[in-house]
Amino acid sequence: MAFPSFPDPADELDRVAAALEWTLHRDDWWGPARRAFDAEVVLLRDEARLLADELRIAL
Amino acid sequence: MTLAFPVRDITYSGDALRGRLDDLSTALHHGTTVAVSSSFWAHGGADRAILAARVRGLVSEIARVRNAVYSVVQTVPTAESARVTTLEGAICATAPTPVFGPGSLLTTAWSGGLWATLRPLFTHAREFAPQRAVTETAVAVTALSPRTSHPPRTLRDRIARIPRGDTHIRIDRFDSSGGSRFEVFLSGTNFAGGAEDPWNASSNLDLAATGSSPALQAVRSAMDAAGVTRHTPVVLTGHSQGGLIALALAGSGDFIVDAVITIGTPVGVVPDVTNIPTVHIVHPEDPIPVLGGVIERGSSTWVVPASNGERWFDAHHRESYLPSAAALDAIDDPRLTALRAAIQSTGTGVARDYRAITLDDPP
Repeated sequence: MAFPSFPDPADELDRVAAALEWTLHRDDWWGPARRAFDAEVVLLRDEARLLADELRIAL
Repeated sequence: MTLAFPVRDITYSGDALRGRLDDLSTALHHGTTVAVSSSFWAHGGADRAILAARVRGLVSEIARVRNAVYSVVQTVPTAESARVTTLEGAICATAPTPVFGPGSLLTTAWSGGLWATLRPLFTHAREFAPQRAVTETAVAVTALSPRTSHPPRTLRDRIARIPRGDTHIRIDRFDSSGGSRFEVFLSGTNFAGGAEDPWNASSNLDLAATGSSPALQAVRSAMDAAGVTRHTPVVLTGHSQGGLIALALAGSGDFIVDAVITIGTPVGVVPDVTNIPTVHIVHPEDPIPVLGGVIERGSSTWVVPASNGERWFDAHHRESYLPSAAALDAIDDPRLTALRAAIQSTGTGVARDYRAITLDDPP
């Protein structure tokens, strides 16, 4: 489903998830702070994916 | 004055965090687009309204994490520049003494001077971490076979006794007519350790966020098993996470701690102890101590360039700190001389290693 001037919201949420997934695979940071950061980003990425799927069904 | 060591190469934090900031900004951009567009599609029923609310919540959470990273990024370049400047200033001001070989520098910096401008990254780690109360984890501690030990006489002696491998705790007991004295040696983080290893990386964060950790509990259990009581003097020596545990134990007031000696420890992660002699040995090339940020007053930090040109994690290894401790032993500093004399045990003792396993993971 398309809306005036806006890209498809489910596709946009896929891009949100992809950006978050990308940041998980940067390997130039280490240590406990990274573990905490990654745990937070994983939750956000999963929620973005779930929302994208649900929006595809709902819209 | 040209430094003999590559302090300026410590740029890991800025680059790593800036990349993540870009990723989060991209995610936030796309998420915001969806949130704005929801005004067109959120009115077709309750399900859509709920989805729109969830999108707004997701965007809000991404913004929160992005802002936290941004606040760290803003501090890193300043902090690292200041670190370089302060090191240069310290070296110029103290006219460093060549200790072993040309180009080797030994510089001492006492509390507040060298590290005062560093912002603790762990403060932000705590923001990322899920808030939770202290959770007591079940930890099983097994004492291995005892062996004869002689009292350590130097800082290097003590650093050399910090365990390696799968044992993380060593406790030496020395009995004399004056009573028993203990020396506790604690290893650093096992970054490959799983949930069953109390010395895994998350134990650091537990200690920072809650003041307790499976590793800390394991050490308490081992000390209890070894016979350390509230009335027996003890010297605590730790590497990295082991140093944090040593400081936490000293700060608890549960033991008579004569001294705390740490190497490669981000000491700012836990509250500092002000009434107990401390010696923190730090390599400027070691990336771990900087995680702790500010060292509170009362600490005594010795910054010794790694003697063999080690960098990054090579400069964090226990073995890398052995020559640095020996360098401190070799200098004629009244503070260190007095400390060594005050904590000297006598007689023949018994050494035991302790193996610890976490029995269940906290929820």
